[in-house]
Amino acid sequence: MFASWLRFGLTSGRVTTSYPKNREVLLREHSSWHTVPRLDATAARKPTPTLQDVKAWAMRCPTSALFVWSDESGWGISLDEGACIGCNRCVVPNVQRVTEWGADVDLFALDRLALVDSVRLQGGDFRDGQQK
Amino acid sequence: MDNKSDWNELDAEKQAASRLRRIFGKSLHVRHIDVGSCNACESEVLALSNPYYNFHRLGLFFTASPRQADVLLVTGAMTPTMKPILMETYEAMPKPRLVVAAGVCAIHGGVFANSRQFAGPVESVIPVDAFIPGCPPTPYALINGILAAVNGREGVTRDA
Amino acid sequence: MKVLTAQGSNLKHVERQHHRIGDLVHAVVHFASEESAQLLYFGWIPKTGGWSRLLAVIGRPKHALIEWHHAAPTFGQTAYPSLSARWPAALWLEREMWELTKVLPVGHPDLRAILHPENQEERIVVHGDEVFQLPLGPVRSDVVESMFMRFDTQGEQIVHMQPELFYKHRDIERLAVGLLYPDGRFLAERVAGTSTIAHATAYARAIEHALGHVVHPKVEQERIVFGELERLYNHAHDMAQMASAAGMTVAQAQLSRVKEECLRVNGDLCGSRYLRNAVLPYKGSDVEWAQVVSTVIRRLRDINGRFTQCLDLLRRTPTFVDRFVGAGIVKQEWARAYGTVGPVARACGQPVDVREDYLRDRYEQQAYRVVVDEAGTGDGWARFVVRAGEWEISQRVLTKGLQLLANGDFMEAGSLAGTQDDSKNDGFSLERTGIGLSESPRGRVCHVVQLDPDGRLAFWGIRAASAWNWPVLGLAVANGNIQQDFPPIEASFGLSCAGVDR
Repeated sequence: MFASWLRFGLTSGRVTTSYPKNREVLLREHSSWHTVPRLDATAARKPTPTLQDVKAWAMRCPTSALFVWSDESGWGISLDEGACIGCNRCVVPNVQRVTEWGADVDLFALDRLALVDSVRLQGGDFRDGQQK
Repeated sequence: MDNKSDWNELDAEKQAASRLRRIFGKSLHVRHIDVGSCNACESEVLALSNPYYNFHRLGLFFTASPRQADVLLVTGAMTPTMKPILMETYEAMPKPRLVVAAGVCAIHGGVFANSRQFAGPVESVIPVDAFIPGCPPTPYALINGILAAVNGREGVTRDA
Repeated sequence: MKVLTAQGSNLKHVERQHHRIGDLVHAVVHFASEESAQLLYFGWIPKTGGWSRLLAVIGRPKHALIEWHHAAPTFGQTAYPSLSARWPAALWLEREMWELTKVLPVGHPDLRAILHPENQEERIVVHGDEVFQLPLGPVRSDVVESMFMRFDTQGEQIVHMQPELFYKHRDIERLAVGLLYPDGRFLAERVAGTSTIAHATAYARAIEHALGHVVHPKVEQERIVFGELERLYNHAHDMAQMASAAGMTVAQAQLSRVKEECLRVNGDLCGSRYLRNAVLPYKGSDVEWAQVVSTVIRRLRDINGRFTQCLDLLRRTPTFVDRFVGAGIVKQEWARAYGTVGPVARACGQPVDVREDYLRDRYEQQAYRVVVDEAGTGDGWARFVVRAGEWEISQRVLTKGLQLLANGDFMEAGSLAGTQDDSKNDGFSLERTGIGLSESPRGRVCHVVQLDPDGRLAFWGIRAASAWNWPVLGLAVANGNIQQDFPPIEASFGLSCAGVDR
């Protein structure tokens, strides 16, 4: 993920702790930490929730990080990780089950738009929709 | 991934490394500024120097003055009072300089986005190189984001 | 069965309505000299119907009373006799009220702008030979919150120190107006991030008090446990900062390691390292206590061993002790007059503690006792000793409290829905108004809320712990200390800006 010189330190660089070298181990160890949820792209394969349901459900987000969009071929839902405060409202068991806690405890982005995740729930093929 | 492309990647990494090393020297100094956070982000930033994360091993250090800083780490929902102070701090930093916005408040405003005392995301005032979401972001995310900001500056030059 | 009210049993809320604000101030000033009376809240509140009124909430733990004094201004009233002229605890509050409402507190000694430090023009200037002014902030060295301090020094001696806060004023109280009360907790958790639980608990209790309900004892028990978990990592942090201020690098590393381990326990317990989403109005957390309790207790015991070992070494390190003994003395009369709270007050020998004063019967079964420095020296070392004692008590409360949660039979106490709160007497004219108190690691947190008939916040007043201690820092730093004493003193106070700035 990083250049080796960063991974091993800028100077002589003996790595004394396990991060960032063993990222997998770290993610496993801290799997119960919650930072932001992620959209479950496979949710679309389950019985598709109705637009009304999902809209009402996105309304629960206190910072409008979760929002519903539509275009000519259908609609979908987006999660702005840059606005998500990690309250557990959209993750509590719900019929739609489109979000779940993400396991990433080391999330970052170099581009503001890269923090916006989208899932198309109707129209087109059931995969990640385009950036909205 | 076969061996050959592995070597190619390593080569590219080496080139990037030597270029950045020329510019930043062998270490990277971070100046943290709080523009209106709730103190949780500060607590996590401070955790970077504890033995668990120990970011000094990567050549990263906190510095007292913006004049000696390479990276400006901004946390909090920017208040109108802190806005000119943030800009002054940024202006005081030598070039090349990197800005990392840490925490939802700095990126978007989070729960304070509708406050009268919120002067907009950090990005609206100074250019930001890396965004670290989370409320607050974990120290892992902070290390990751700072390193990625350095690494992500492909075309970095002395006067960028 | 004994009915617990929102703030503990037998506590009564009494309302005193005054005809004039002058009468109110006169009545409240009377409490300034009463031993153990506390000014919990003082400020303007809107009243149903649009008229604003002045509210002073006085806590009298000795009499198990919370007194609500309020009075409406007469039409066009632009001045009232200042409370802080007689009770300095209200100094900063009245500065803020003056700036917001422009109703003049007559007799207030210092009416500089407080909410907008950038507009401030008048400054306190010390005149004299060789007096040198040293501005510090708002961008300071190390990772700290943004604040500004103006030192007037004569040689090395600090003559006067004035902290200026509110650089991070986020206007939370007014931002929340119109929010549904379940949404208000997102703001409450972020008033001060390192006191997430204290503020969330105070907010939840205020809401429950306003709506006249008492939650199930298990929910309150969870709040106690989370509160102590928060105290552990905060005290470890404060100790680490003190070690760092005295140049004890190894101790700082060890103590910040302890803090990190506490945060990890929190993270593994409920997902958030800062215990966010754990305390909600009317609701318990979704932690499965029976499954996790033994692990948490074991991990806490490990952490405790490391912490006490490190502390024992620090106590026997003269270079550490010397920096704190006699540094930043808070005199008992200052502590009383300014209404200091938390470890700062308890280091002066004053047993000010919400757990003791208002929630005693909840904490009684947890083997809790208030930690007070008996000598009441009020110096940096006393604050260190008090924090060390509190860590020990917290460990005890946690062990007991966690076991209670795991196998306690709370069902006998009634349904999960809770019971009616009858602590307010019948003639309480401030409708849907409630107060919530909790003890944060830094001291008493007090929230006063008023709700609309449809459950929206009409008014929210927040008094964070540090708000009572900041004005005393200036006094403690200035009297007989030199520049080099400042970092240890500041670290031993362990203040936060976020809660004061709101």
